[in-house]
Amino acid sequence: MALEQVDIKRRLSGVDVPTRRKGLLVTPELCIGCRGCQTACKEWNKLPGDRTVNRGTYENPPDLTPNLFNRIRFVEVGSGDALKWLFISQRCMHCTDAGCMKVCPAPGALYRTDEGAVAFNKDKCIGCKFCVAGCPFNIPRYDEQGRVAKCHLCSDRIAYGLQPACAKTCPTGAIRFGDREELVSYAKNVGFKSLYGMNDLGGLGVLYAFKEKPSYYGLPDKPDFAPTISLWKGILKPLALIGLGGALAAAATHYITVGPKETDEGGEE
Amino acid sequence: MAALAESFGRGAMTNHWIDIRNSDVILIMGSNAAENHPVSFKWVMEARKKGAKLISVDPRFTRTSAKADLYAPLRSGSDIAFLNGMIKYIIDNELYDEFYVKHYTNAPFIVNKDFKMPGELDGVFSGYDPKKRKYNKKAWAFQKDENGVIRKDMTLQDPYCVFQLLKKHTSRYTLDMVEKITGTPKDKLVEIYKTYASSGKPDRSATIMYAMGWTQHTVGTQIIRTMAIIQLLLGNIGVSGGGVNALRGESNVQGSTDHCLLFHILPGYLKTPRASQQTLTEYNNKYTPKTNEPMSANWWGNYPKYSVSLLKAHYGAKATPENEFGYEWLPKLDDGQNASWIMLFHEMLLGKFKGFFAWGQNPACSGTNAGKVRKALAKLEWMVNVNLFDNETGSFWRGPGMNPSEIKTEVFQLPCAASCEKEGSITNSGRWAQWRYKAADPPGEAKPDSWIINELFWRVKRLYEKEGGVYPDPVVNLAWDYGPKTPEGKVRVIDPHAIAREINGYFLEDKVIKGKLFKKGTLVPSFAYLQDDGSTSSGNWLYCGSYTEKGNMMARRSKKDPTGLGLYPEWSWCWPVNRRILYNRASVDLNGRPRNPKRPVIYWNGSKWVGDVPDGGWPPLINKAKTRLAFIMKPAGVAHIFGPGRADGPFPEHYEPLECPVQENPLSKSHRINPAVKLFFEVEDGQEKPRKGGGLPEDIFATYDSRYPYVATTYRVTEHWQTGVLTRHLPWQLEMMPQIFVELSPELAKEKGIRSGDKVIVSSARGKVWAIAIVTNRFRPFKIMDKTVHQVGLPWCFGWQYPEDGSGGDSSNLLTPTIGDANTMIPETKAFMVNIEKA
Amino acid sequence: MEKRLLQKTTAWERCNHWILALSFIVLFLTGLGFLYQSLNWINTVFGGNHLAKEIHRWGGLVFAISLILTMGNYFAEAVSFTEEDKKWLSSLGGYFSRTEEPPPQGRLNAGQKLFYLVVVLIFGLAISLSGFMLWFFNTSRGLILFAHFLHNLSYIVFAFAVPLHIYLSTAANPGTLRVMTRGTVSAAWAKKHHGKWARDMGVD
Repeated sequence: MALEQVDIKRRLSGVDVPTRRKGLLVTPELCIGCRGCQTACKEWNKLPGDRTVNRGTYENPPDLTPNLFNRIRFVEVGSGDALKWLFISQRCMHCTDAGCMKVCPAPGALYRTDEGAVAFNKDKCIGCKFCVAGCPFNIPRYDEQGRVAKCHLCSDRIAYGLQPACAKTCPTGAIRFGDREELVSYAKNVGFKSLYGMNDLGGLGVLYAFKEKPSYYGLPDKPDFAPTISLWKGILKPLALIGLGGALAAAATHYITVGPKETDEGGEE
Repeated sequence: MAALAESFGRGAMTNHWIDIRNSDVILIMGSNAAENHPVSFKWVMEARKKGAKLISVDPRFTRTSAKADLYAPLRSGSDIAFLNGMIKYIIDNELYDEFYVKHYTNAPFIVNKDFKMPGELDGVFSGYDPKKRKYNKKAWAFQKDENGVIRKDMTLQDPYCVFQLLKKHTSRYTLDMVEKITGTPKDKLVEIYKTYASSGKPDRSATIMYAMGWTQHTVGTQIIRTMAIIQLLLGNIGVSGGGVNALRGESNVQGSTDHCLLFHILPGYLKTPRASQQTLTEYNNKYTPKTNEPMSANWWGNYPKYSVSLLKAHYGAKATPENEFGYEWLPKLDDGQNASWIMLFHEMLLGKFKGFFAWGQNPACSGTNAGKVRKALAKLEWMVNVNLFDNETGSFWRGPGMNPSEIKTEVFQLPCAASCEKEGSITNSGRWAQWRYKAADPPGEAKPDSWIINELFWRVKRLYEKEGGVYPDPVVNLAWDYGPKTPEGKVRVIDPHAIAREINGYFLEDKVIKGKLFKKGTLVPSFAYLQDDGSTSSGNWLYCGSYTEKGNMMARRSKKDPTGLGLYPEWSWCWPVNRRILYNRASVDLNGRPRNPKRPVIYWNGSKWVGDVPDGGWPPLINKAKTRLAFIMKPAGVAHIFGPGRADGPFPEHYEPLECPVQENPLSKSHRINPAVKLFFEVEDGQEKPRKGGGLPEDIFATYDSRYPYVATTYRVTEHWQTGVLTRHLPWQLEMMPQIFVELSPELAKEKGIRSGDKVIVSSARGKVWAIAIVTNRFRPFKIMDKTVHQVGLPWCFGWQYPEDGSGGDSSNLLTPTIGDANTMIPETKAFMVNIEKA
Repeated sequence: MEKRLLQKTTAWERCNHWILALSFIVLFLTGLGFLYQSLNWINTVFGGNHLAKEIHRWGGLVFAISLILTMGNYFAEAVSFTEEDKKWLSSLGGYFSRTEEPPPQGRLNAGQKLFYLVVVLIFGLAISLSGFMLWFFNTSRGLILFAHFLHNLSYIVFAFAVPLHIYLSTAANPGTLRVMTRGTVSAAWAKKHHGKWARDMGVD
């Protein structure tokens, strides 16, 4: 896979996001649910098709899988004249403050590309699934070998100046690729005052231009990772080192100041 | 296409895909563009960004409806009522474009005084012969003066002028009546009529995108005629962002139709000769229209130039003036013979065919009444199945209900190349012929179609030469110069460029035309130079100009757009003569100034037209001496609001589908169904119910029948291509759409105890299929004639042969009836009656 | 004062302790490698993240078994809280004064009891159980989050407590290491650190 070759150029880890960050602007209003992106994604990433059944809906497969990085959700809301049929791309958001990267214990398994994408390297993944817990959007999936798989913004395409397969295929511009800043100003120009993911989690790499509330599309109104992760990352993790260092320092101090409890028997040798 | 040719003169999308972005109102009805023409939605969305209103009218809420500003449900098969109601609304509220109607349509024409309409004759027009189920079209003739010129009333007040007749005819389509027939709520009707009719102003335009949801009805042609009339009333033909846009079902249907896919036409929409037309002169006289209208260009007056050039392309040097250029060798239809799809399989079932080439198609799934088609295939001695994959047609003998030991048909499977594995052109719906290059070699033993045809031709020709045979001349005299030949004369490899050049046409001798010398062997630059004396050849006059001495025009890829309207005149090549918007001279006023200055397609600069290629280069109408009227393909030079050429009436009238949920036509007691359709099963007088023993059991139908109480329609889905032969083999596509489904409303589901995801049986008078139920608010019950009517819908992209475990289900065409449109014989697969039960 | 050695631990206890200690060190180090990207080189020493993960998992199993076995050695004694323990606690074990001495203690002093109960028992079990959850029951997001948090929290406790434990058993109390090496202590040591126990053992 070409991914590994590109990978060599990539910085292995870290959350410092490049200033010329690339991203996607998803406009569900423009999405016609054709799922060209779903197929294009599979084609580029050489992902097999899974056997499925019709569950009484167009939406299929029922969830993201290690073989499905991008899925169009079909949501029917209301009835009669108020009926709406919504289509929305579900995939990795490439957060600036990426919960998955925060908790990943294997450096390089998840990594930030020069373009700001959160990519993965299956060879480095140790299969702990912490990233599943760390993700506020429930995106990462594990393959049969227990290795992580998810959208990587076609890091092996964008590194060479191509668009991600999904954006390339989209006939209506519902998935638009470009410099994140330019996407933001473009969205403003076409009338979207605020974007989902503009500032959430440090700014998402995948921005959504919604007219309705995000929850309408099954997304959290205010995305954030689990509080235990912030607690751990913000307080406890430094505390562990402080604890270790502190304990050693305390022992040394005690030894010097109070001193050991000698057995007063004049030496037992 | 029959409707478009009748209304405007050419059977094709009037505008083109990109031009959709210039519309102010877009009506999508009889098509589901978002699902079946997703790329077209790029331009729909562009238009919406600029403030255009998108209207979706469909029996079910589709992915197109999901994007629409306005959605209205209507019962399958009631489109004419819906649209005639709009005509009435436009006339009543005087929203039509009066200038346009007077100058560019036959609205002022005066019809003979004996002419009567369905309102007066209980459902039929004058001239109907119930025994033959045919009209005598002479009853629809116009009044003419002593010079043979049609009488006109430019004030549109004469009670027998087309405009007044139309007003009278549509006056029966009141909002109440339309609501009762279509099931569309009145307020929705008014909202849509009002929005659409807003395009009657010269500076606004509206377009219609339709497809098989309109054509596949017994009244298909007339549905499109109704829309054509609306577009003419609103002045939306020939303008940017307007037109009647037929979305073709496959990427190259326009091209294959242009090149005579259908039985009744030769390339370039020349007519297939009939047995009684014994000589070329008779044939040409029959199809060369004459007119006494002083300002009419009557372009079809050139018919003999095109037919002779075609014969020269067919037979080369063997075509001489002495042998009428080989006219004798052309295959001829019997008088009155119809050899369309339904008829072919009907005759096949009756044992009238020995062999059959199923070339790039899958009739065992795609044909209406597929059960009958499958039985018909078993009557063949041999069948050749040319396809990328084996399919339900090639394997019909081992299909459900078949006993292979009793079937004698010998099947030959010929694997062929996919479109990207060969070079050539495709013509899109917008008439753009685009050259494509070969991207990869075909796998295994697969060969391009041209390779297969070349082999067949060579071997058949050799057999005729060796053994003689009944009539070898048409085959042995064919010119076949498509590449370097072996010493025996066989073409080694077919060169697509040689074919493209033959289609364009050559000068066959040095020729001086309009003072200019054209050398022998050079390519003809445009069809204006084609001759009827045998000095030129052209395999398809419409494509003359596509491959000239300047090169392969279809391969052009310039993104220049001088008008800013997205015409891209140097991207590929478009017939006719690279004109991107047909009838564009109807977009200007008498002085040649654009009536919509915001989006001028063409304008007269005092000496010539600027912009798109004008539809006829004559000066504007103000110059009465030199001008010619805008619709050059129609004998009278104007578009037809009154269409006297169709089989089933000059104006569209609502008739029920063959199978419908009402006892009688709410508008006329005696004629429930289209009075001019060919019946395959005899009916009883009155309600036109099937007469016992009235035909083959395969052709049975059931209307207003409690056993089959629900209206059904069929459709495609984005995820699969046609019958799915190409896409079912792609795991990615199958993953998204794995199984046949039937969509139904929660109300009907509750009645039948069906839940989403349940397996159900859908049955019609002809067959049944299992399907997975999708219970959805996207279907809702209709109120038809004050009664609740439910509708369901199924896709037809599945078949038993693949997936191999049968998990996909079978084709919904096992349910559809044997009946077709009165003009085109396109099957009525979009409205029929079924029952649904939990499996 | 005669030179006399008292048996404080059995060979079984000592073996167990060192298995526990060794597995702890391995777990602690690989854990550090996983937790801090800057310390990931530690896992490189262990043969890379993949091998380190396996070592961490199986080492965890050894640790957990050893932990349970260790409990048998002191559990009963650790839960019995005596008057001496109270005094030991109120004088903070005498560790913060050069002069103050807690009253004579039994075989385990209050500090040791607390260490066993809180650090070894509660957090030892917590870190083991959460580790097994992450290993075997990582199907739900909530479970992973909970187990991960618990594992990390316990880790901090160990990171703090174990170095102190080592200090107290070596430099702070010379002669103590013998308890876990030879198993015997001098009578003098016993008298000083576990006076009551020494008395019970017959040292006056």
